[in-house]
Amino acid sequence: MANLALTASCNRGCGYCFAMNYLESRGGAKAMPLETLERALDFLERSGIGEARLLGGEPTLHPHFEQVVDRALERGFRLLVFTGGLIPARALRKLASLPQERCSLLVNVIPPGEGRTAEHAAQARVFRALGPRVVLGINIARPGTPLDFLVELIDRYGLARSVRLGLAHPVLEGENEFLHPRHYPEVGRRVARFGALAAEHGVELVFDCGWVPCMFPDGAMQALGLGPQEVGLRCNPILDVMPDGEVISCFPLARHAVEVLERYPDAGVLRRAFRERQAGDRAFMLYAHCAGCEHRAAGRCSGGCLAGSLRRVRSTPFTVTLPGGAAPSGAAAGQERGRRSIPLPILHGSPPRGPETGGATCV
Amino acid sequence: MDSVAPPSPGPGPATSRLRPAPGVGWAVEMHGLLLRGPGGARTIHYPAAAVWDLIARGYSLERVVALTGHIADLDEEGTRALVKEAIREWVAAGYLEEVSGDG
Amino acid sequence: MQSLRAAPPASAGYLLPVLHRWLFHAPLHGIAALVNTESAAILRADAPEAWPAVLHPLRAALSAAVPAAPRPLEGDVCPSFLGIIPTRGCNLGCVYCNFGGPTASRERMDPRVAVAAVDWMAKRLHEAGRELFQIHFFGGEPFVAPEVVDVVVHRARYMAARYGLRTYVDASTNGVFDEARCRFVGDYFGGVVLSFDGFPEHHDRTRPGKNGRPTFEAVARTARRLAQMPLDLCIRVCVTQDSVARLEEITDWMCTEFSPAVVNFETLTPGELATAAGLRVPDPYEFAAHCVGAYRVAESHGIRAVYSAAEHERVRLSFCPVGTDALIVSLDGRVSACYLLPEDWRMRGLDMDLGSISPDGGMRLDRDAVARARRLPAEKPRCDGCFCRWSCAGGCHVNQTYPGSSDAYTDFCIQTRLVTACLLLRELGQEELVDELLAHGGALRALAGHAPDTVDLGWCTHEGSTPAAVRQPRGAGRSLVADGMTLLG
Repeated sequence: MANLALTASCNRGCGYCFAMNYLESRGGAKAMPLETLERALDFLERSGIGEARLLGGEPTLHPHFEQVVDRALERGFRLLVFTGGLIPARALRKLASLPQERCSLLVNVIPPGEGRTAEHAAQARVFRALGPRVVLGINIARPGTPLDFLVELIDRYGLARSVRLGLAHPVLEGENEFLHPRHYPEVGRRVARFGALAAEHGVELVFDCGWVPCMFPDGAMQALGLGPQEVGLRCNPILDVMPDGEVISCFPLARHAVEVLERYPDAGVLRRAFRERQAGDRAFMLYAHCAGCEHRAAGRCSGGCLAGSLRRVRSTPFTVTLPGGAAPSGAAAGQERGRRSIPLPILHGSPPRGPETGGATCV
Repeated sequence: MDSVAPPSPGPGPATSRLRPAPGVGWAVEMHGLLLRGPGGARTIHYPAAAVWDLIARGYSLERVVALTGHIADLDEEGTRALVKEAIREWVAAGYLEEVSGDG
Repeated sequence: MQSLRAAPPASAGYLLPVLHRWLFHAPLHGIAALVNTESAAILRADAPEAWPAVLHPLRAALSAAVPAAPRPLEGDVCPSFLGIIPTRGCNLGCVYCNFGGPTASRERMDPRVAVAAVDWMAKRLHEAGRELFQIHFFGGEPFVAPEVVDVVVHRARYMAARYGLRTYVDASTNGVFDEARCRFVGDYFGGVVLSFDGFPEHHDRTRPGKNGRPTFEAVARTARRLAQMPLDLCIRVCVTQDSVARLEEITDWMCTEFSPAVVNFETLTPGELATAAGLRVPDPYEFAAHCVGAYRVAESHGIRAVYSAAEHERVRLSFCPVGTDALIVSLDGRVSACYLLPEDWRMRGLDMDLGSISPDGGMRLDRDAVARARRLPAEKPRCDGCFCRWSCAGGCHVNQTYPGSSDAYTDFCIQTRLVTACLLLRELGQEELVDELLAHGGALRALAGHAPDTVDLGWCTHEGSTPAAVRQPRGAGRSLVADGMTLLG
């Protein structure tokens, strides 16, 4: 699996978006040039990946979207388009003309009560035009994000009987709206209830990355037919190819490490490279108590979204001032590492005082 | 633990300042701190975990010693040794480095 | 008002009027149902064998083993949590403060006392085979004594590691502290109860600084920071007559702005300071209506709203730490069952002190005092006939149901009964009925003042082995039973 971010342009303004912040900050090509697309398709080909997953921004806003589609299909790829569902008419006609077995869309649906009327109408047009090609997806950014309406939409428009559930993860650097881990159990309860409704309607739930077993009530994971591969162990380098051909592990970790497509023979090697680079960080997990968790101990959970976990990491600069004086018995260690010898703290008396930071402030 | 010993005599620089090395980060874990740095990630157990936290939050060394004394239930001498050893280890492992002359 | 002394509660079901119907509630079974007048009469008077078919699902549910009613603790002391009062001093001048905060001394707890308490508690929990070590900081404002907090947190974690315990630390705080303290709290605390009374016109009136300056912005800033931290943020709103009408709006804003884990509503506790400041306790009927509205708003955000006295999902003997063996350590080393000021409980003829702890580690607990505190929550004559007996549990033992207090319902009882009934009806899927009820003053008064509510269910008392604290999941079995009940008549 690898995703091709065709463009940094988008016609929606989702508060939780973990892509735009990064895409907009990069400068350079806003839309993927066709030659870069070819290089990216080459990479998919030599990686043995048969599906070209197009995302953005809004991929259908790519100025040559129809050509992109044609080229990917000519080269034998199946298409999966990640879209916000506000698809320009030309692109929509193009997608509607494709055989269903060659192309599907994951439409990031606008929940009731959010978005403008015109946006809901635009999504409805897409649902009507593409019917079973459309898989509904929703990113849960708030614990109260409604879910039941998804089944209704599927029935009303005859969409694919599958829903992709995503958690809105935080970007490691920058700001976005995300589902705070304190709300995971509430979301777990709601998803468990929704799962029962979906099952009644023959709708399958597909879970995106970063879900963790501890968010579900007892028995819910079994009822939903979920194992560790779906929930608990799904935080891996996805490989998102940027419009300029650079590759990131995933958008939430975008600034963490960037690679160049050509440097790697295939997706497997590139993914391994990202994994190795992230290995030290993997020790950090979503909650402080993850270290004592039975799911973790049993290898059923890797501790949730890495970007979310790394938000707990402090790196605020500080200095500790050591009074000079006695010969530093610890200097040897510093010298071993080629450092200047460092005097050890000689802890001498002074009137006790409060912390330099912290504490209640007087109003 | 509010009173500590007078300064030890001896030559040497007036003061020396340490700071976390580039790339060092830490997070609170169930029973200590997880420290990421040049040598990879390692857990700092108590009572040293308290020393790191207090230093990182800007307490003066005198207060670090005073509070650590309570936390570790050690006398003054023992506390000093504990703090000293903890800092020595972190310097040795590359988690802390000296701030150069101009700071 | 008639006497509420009624049937023994352990075997009780309860019936209370809701417009032209009756709400049946068997809290120990975790069952509620809405029935018509005819069914209510049958439930009151007839032997279960004579119940008509439509009541059979209810009979079956009631016949299942029922957990024992909670009883006062016995045996060795094993505290539910350790409360630490690092100081009674405070950096604010809240006009309703019941802790003497604005004028209290800023004297701080001797860290050795704190360490001794932590050590005793950790060891005791270990001996008792417990896994969770809970600490709650009370005040004053606990972060006025930051070093005590630091020592307690780290010592507790140190001891927890030694004994294989998990720590959970939380605090009640006014939120007026800096970003560094926020980070510390975010890193080491499992939860924070942040007092935040609503919009600026509410909050700044009730919770000004000592110099009278507004604190809204400072608290909002802290709430925003804490909202980003990996802890459970509980926002506690003290509701007055000034703010009650805007409770839904306040809740919506708080949920949107801070996405807390919980929004908690408490009504103003009457007192001289509050009266002098011109604050009034909200009208209980108005509070109930807006509280239910606020619950709905919070739920639409996926956020839990709580009016503590109406937490009917769990069965409890005591509303508060009293009776649970919680040990609250004051800065002078007194160990008490209650975190209120001693003069408050003494005024009611109560003695909540359990013993003391000295800086050298000696914990002295008075067995008689512990037994007295354990018994106190069980002695609630006013509550015996009330359907909220096992959820509200009588409210504050000092301010609501103190020994010698009247048997008649107070405003607190009225609002608690109304909110609890509405929440039960909502669980039964009766949202429209809730609206109808809240709009009908006469029906509200009938429900609020109904006494006693008890129905003798002695026939179905087969005490099971399930501990009293364990309940059916929220809502389990309720709507099913309700569907059956509404058919009659």
